[in-house]
Amino acid sequence: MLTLKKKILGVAVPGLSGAAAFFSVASVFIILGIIFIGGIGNISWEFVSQAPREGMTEGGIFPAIVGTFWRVLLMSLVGVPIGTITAIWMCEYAPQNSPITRIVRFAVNTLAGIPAIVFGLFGLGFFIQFCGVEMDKMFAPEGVIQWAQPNILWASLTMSILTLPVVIVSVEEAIRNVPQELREGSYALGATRLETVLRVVLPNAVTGILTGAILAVSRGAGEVAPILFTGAAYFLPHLPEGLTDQFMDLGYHIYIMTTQSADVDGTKGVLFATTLVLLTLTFALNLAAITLRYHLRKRMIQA
Amino acid sequence: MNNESAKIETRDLNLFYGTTQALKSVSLSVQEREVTALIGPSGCGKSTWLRCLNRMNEMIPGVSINGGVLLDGVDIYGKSVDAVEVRKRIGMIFQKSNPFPQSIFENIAYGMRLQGINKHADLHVIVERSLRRAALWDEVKDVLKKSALALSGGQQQRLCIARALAVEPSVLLMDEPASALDPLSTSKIEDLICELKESCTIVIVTHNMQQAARVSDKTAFFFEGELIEFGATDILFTAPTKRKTEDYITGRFG
Amino acid sequence: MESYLETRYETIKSSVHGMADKVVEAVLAAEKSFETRDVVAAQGVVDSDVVINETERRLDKELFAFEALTAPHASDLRFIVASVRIVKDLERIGDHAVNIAEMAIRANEIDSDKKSITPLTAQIAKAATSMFTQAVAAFHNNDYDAAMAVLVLDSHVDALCIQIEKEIIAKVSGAPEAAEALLITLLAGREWERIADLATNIAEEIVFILKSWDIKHNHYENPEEFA
Repeated sequence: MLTLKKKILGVAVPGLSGAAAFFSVASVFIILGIIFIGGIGNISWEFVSQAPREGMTEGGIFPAIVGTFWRVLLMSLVGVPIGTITAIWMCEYAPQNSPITRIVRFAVNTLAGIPAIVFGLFGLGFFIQFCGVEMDKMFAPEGVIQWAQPNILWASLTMSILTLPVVIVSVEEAIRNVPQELREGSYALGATRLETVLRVVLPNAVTGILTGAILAVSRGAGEVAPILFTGAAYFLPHLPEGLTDQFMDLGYHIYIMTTQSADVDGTKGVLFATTLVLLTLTFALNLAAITLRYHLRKRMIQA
Repeated sequence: MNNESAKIETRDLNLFYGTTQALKSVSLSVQEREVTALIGPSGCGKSTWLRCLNRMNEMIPGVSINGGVLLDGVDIYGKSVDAVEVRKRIGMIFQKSNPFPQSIFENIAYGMRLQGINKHADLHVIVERSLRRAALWDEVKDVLKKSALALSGGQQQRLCIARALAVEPSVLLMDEPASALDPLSTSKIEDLICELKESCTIVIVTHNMQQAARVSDKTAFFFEGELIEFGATDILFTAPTKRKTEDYITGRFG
Repeated sequence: MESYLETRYETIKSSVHGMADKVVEAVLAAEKSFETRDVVAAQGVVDSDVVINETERRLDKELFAFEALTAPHASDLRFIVASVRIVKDLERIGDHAVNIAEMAIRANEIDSDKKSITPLTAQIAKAATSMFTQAVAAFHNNDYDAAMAVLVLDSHVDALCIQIEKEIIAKVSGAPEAAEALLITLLAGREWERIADLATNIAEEIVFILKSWDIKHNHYENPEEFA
């Protein structure tokens, strides 16, 4: 006999889990909807191509877009190669399940769990107050502070550490997905480990590596905390011209407009629009990752 | 046994996976330009033995090997011998055809590029010759730029044979090369084995006893890590001397 | 649990052994009928040949199919290949038994007082029959020594056959009126000699099945060399 308990569970479990699923879908649409409706009215060519004016209530967010672009690019140039090489080492070179690989894996997992603000403080302490100070001692003229201050380089390096676990994990997965038979085929033809990695493993993992890179970029693009103390500027009249310059940033721009603005009502429209631009960029990057992977995979099968 | 003309042989070869012994003092010598078939139930050590011949086992963590593996009289596990050099001289074909996800041309060229041959004209000569030797040229000569993955299973396996032949190995190891193929593709592979025997020494692992009987000159029967019986194929399949061989090939096992 | 292949193999094996038993019956009946001029027994031998011939046809087909469909190896293969030849030999022996039985019937008509029978006829019949039954017994028991023992008996039967020839030739010149009956005796001796030869063949096949040695055509010394 089907007990009452079972009958109730039979209805309650699918009901509740369905509701939970609906809830998460609904929140996405509500958030996106509010941002879209609030922001779309303020989006214009002028908005994306001009600097802010009148205490952020007028003009555009062009410097913030450019700043974000450079920061993300620098971050990727450093983080993706390091992450990829780490993943290659973990999969292809390090002895499996040895103490050293376990330590590295533990480090990567821990890194992924550290709050973003801690990275910001780490960047301030390590890059600016240690690396920067030392570099100034070596390179800068006496008494001039060149590197020991927040700038786009330190911000990007901090960010690349934050995104390292994302890159490592996705590249690792891509490398592990390369069939073992292909490696064996390569070794059997007299290839060394390095030749096998370069000629077989990496070309076959390239979609995964790119996916990892793009995921890291979209994760990093939205983060604000790590750059708070390491390079982002409240307002700059000019674009960054070198590694020692500070920069404006979309996420940080949203943050300061929300918390620091003197004219809350005046900046509200701009705030919504900036958020919309940031979300659109992140979304576009994700879309690009998916499309890229799809096309590369298709090309690999048909060629 | 006349070891003078042995192309490749093992002497008291033992192999351990951790503490499990997978090969127990196997001494077996393969004659030049003969096809030697390895038969036996799954897990009997025949594939493991095969993979000792081109040092593929040492990539597996926890494997330890002792005893001698001699190629043309030289111990390939010797201190001065590089596994990479050994593998250039001993080609291998796997159970699952494993073409690289590249063009047919690039698949064959792979081994030569490793050796620093990069000129297209040189590569083309060798690609054509290898594909002809693998009886695949006529089927693919117009589509060399197409992905190797677009070929049928049987064609892919012949492509892998061509790829191995391109580096001119003197020994070809085949690990169940036709077990995933239809009968027609299988018979093409078998024809190829008989053809290649003229220029190569071939060692083939197979679960298909008819196949071993058809293509090989000598057959070795492995059981639980030991070499039970080794001899001319026509004797082994009609009048084996060991009880275990008899039981296995007549299907009265266990 | 027996495998289905094993079952199939055992079935065909017992069919071949069964045919051997049937032919043994025919030979024993033929021996008796010729000695005693037992016309009824002789007719029984003649009639039973149809069954033997049909068995040969059926086994031909079954052995052929077994070979083609199961691709046997080692001792199974040797059994199947040897059985093809044993079945043929058995059928020939059956034919010779029929010939002897028919001669018994004819001899009964023209020589009712058994003048044409000599002690040698009984001897050769007995010797040949015993060789054949021993060969079949060795076949049933997978007995290598028994099979080898059959082989050495053949020369005795050959000698008996020659003796019969000489005796009959001597008798015919003294009693031309009994020529036909004597000739039948001579021919019957020839039939027994053939049966002994075929029994030898069967013994050789048994050695092949058991040891894989080919000892045909008197390679009986050091049989291991003919592996």
